[in-house]
Amino acid sequence: MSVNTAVIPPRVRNLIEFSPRVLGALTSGPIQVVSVILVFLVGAAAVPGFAEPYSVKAMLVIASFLGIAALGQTFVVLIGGIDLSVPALIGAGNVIGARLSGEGMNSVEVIAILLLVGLLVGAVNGLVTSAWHLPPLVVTLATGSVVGGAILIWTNATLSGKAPTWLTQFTSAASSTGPLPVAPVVVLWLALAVVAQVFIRRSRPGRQIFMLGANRPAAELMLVSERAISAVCFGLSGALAGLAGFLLTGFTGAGLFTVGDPYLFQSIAAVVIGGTSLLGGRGGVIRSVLGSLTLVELTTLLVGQSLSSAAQQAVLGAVIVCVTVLYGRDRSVRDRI
Amino acid sequence: MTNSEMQDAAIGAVEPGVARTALASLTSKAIVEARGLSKRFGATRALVDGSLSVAPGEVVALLGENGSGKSTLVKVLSGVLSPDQGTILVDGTAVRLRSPRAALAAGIVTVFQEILAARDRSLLDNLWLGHGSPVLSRPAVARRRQLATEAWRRLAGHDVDLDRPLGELTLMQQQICVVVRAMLRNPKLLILDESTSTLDVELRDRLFDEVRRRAVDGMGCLFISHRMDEVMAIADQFVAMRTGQVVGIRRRGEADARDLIRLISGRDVEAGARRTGTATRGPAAIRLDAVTLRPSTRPFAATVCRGEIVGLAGLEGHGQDELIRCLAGLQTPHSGEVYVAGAKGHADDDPAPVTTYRGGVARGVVYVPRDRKVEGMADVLPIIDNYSMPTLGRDSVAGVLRPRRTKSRFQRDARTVNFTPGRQDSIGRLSGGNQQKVIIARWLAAEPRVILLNDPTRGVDLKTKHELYEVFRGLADAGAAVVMLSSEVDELVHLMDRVLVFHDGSLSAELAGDDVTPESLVSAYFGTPAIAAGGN
Amino acid sequence: MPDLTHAVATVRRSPLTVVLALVVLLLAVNLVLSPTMLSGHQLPNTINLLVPSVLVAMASVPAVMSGRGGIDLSVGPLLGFVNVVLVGVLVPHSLGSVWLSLPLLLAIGAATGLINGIAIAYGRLQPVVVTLGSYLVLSGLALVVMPQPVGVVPNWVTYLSGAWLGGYLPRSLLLVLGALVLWRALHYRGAVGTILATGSDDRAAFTSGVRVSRVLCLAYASGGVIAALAGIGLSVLIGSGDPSVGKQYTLAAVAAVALGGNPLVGGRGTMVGPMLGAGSLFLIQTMLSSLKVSSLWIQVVYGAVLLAAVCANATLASRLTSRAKVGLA
Repeated sequence: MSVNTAVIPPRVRNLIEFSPRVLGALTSGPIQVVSVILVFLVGAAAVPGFAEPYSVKAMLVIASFLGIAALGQTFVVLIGGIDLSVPALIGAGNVIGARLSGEGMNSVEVIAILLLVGLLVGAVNGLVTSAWHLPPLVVTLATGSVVGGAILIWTNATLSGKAPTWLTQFTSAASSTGPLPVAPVVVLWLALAVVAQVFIRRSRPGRQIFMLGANRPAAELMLVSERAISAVCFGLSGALAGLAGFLLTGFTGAGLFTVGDPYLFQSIAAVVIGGTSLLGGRGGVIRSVLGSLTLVELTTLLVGQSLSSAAQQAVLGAVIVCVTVLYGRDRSVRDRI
Repeated sequence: MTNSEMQDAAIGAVEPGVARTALASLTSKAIVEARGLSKRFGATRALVDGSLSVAPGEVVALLGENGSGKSTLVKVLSGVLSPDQGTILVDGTAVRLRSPRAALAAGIVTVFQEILAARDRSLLDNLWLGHGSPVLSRPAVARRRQLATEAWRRLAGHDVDLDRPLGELTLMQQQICVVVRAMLRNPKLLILDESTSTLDVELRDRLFDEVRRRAVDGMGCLFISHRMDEVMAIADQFVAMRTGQVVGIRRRGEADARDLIRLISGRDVEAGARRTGTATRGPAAIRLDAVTLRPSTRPFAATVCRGEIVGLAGLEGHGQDELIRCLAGLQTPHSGEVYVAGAKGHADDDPAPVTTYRGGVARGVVYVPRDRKVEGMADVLPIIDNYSMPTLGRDSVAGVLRPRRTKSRFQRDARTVNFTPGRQDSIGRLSGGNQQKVIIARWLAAEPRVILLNDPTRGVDLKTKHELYEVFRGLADAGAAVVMLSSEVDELVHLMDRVLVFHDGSLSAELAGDDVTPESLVSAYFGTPAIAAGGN
Repeated sequence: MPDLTHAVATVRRSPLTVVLALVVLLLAVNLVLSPTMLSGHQLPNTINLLVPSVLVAMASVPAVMSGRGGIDLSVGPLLGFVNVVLVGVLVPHSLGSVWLSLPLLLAIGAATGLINGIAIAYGRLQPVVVTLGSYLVLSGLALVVMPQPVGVVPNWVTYLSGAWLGGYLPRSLLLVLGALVLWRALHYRGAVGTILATGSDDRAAFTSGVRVSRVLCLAYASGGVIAALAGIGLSVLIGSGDPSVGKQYTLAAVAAVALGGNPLVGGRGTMVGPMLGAGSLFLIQTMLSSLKVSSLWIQVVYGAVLLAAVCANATLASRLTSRAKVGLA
């Protein structure tokens, strides 16, 4: 007398059971591409001029600033951390870059100095979090506060310095890179992404990042140095944030310490929309490239709907949550037993 | 003496309990009955038409290798998973167990294989976890405290500070905690899923006594263990599972351990791994000089030679775990020195103290930790990453990794540990035994001189266990010194060339060859060297 | 003297040690710099300034306790949103009386928290993402409802800005009292213990019959209610509506929780610690302003103190655990 409690017809049941696997397969990459295309198509349909070459170029330029910062954030998120010092370091890159350039310093030296500053601050973040086992959220909040404050004191909270002239061209949506019809900054971003991808896939520290993010005690027993890898990840995040800040002077013209503020949540959102898990160990840098693109498309789409910036923000918040529903879900408690 | 007789002797053969059997035959109605339970995960049929029933006062042993569907059945019965098909009847009425909460309300209380406890919370809070309460008034808390104290004392035989955070207690105390928690719920059906694997012999016997006592009052018990001695000691009925199906049910007395093993595995399995003589012993690989593990314990000395497998044994928390961690360089002994012979390139007669883990690895000392999930592997990452992580440096050319090299290395080392890579990519989806093989393979590339294994066969099914024994023996034959902490008497008796038994933080007995018997081991566990010394 | 050593051990063991020492030190410095700070004349202003920060820190506590990366980034915007709804919606529609507006505002807080909780528990989304989403939604909505700072608060809110006992008992403390009563009630019902157990190991809680999803919803909803109280505290402080001030409270709240010795991984923690943490952040600010240090320095000092305090907390905790291990042997 075996009673069948399952009232769902088998075919439907198979479908239900199948769907998580389909989703699982999609989360390993293509869905992010799909979402970039989908949002683009919606934008093209809903906003006049959205798909025009000029507008696409502009979106790519905006995405490249965000994308460079998000690349750095990705490294930190992969080891299960989060970097809240990104906006302060973008601000620092912007202000220091403009100041030094304004004083006539060679741009190569300026960039070298900025990368070094970002790397150092980031490395401090990494070393402090790993040495004392502190939550990165708090540590980077604190260092971000110190750096941001120091910049305020240094500039006396005023606009200062001047962007190098070549940078305006470098970051202008109208310019092109040799035969490529996009601004050089976009090419730089994509090149950095490719280098980062090779780094995490094809280098020892790159693989160690994943192990550290996935299981800290086990990583330690597999000869992964928590301190070294944390320092590398946070250092890269800091350096890339500094670089993004410098590139932004091409936009701001002079050093503006608040320029980084929107990037606090945007860089995290780009990483998350890209599908890198905030729990660490799962994700990748190419995903963040796609995430940055999606996020910028969404913002542009909302601007195109002539929403006020406040309403845009509200809609964006809801959209971020909805997008992550697609592929950013945790395993349920049941599945973890 | 047959194998099973020895096991009975090892646990101090207890009367089966006449009252219990009488009760079981009197009441025909089962407490819990499962009929035709099925569960699929994608294409895998984890459980097919699973049926069993547990009568009041009856202890049913659920037997099977890993992946045989036991865990799925347990999860379905405890409300963690809902079955695709089939019914569960409690006291003759069909119920739907949508959550563990529903199962608990129906009187089905499960102690899961993994110790599931809130380690930040106090022991008291953990014991009453999940008991809703209208208010936590002072008298209510006092009552809880009193009940918890009594239940703990009954099971563990001693008192404990109920206010300490659980995370500060030993693994065994944590295991006791989850068992006591189950007992406090006065279960109709108690499911013990490998809950004895971290208990020492003494506590396990106390647990069995408690189960028998409760069985007299009508509690049913579903008992799962990979250890045949335990199963034979407690169960009235044996349910064997293979590839998701129930393949046989035997009553007590209808089958001996050998029959059951045949039933589980579907073929004959060698009862134990062969033990080689001490003839193959090579030069000393580890030397312990006047080592003390804790303040004011007796210093001891020991050597481990290349080519032999040496067991570390004792009741939980008596020093064997500290010693293996000292050997690995994960902690330093309280006093004294741990010398390990040099790695390749060093002269053999140049032993040096091991002070750090990394230093140990550089000298060819490798360590396989106890808790696979916590320390052994990253279950979200691919098998290949879990294999190659510590030795990745070998696969890079000018800083760039060559995945093909890693792959070919893995294929070679996987063969050595008898692991066949399948289509599975993630290590989390492998069975416990295969995970352990990957973890061991990981270190083969480091050309280990000393292999430290911390209870490597815990939660591994019989068949894979024997495969692992072959691997360990092979490594020893190839010239490595293998030191293995084990909590299983069978394993110590059949595999080890020598066994170092610990008591009260110090070496209490050293047994070699045929002197390693269940009796000598158990008496050494309790620090009665009179008998142990007789075998020495 | 076993009692004394026991007492010393308890003090050292407590996660509150660092923050308590910090508060005492800062209070002493502040009193030296401006001895009139605690006078009946100045106290209400000081307390009114402090109350929203303390409440917003308290509001973040349950989410952090609930574990698995639990955090509520939306508390800051929520407090701003509550302020804006009170001044910009309820008062103009003559719903400003205490019996109407107070329950409505608390309901807004609870509902926001509940939505966060549902998305996290049933949607299985990461708390940072969800509350970041509601952070953006709430701060956007606040600006939509009230584009510029404007308006007046209802009478009962003005009443709360006053004080009893000649200024020594500021009435805005009632809001903090309300939050504490709520927390105490949850404690008494065993809910706090359940939130902490879930934060420590949700699988253990789930298999022991705890309705984990409901517990998470409860944690975020109670945080939302306290954040609504903080929003009222903000209205008391500024006496009008301002859509933009709320946001800046979020990170200060996280800092206060960390300063207060609550681990951000959840499973452990107190309510008093974050309150003291918020207090010490506040005292740093008053200290710097009475030292006439440029306000630009505040950020730097904030960051430095936060970093030092969490490092001190961690060092103390690790010393204790290493001792606990020895004791175990």
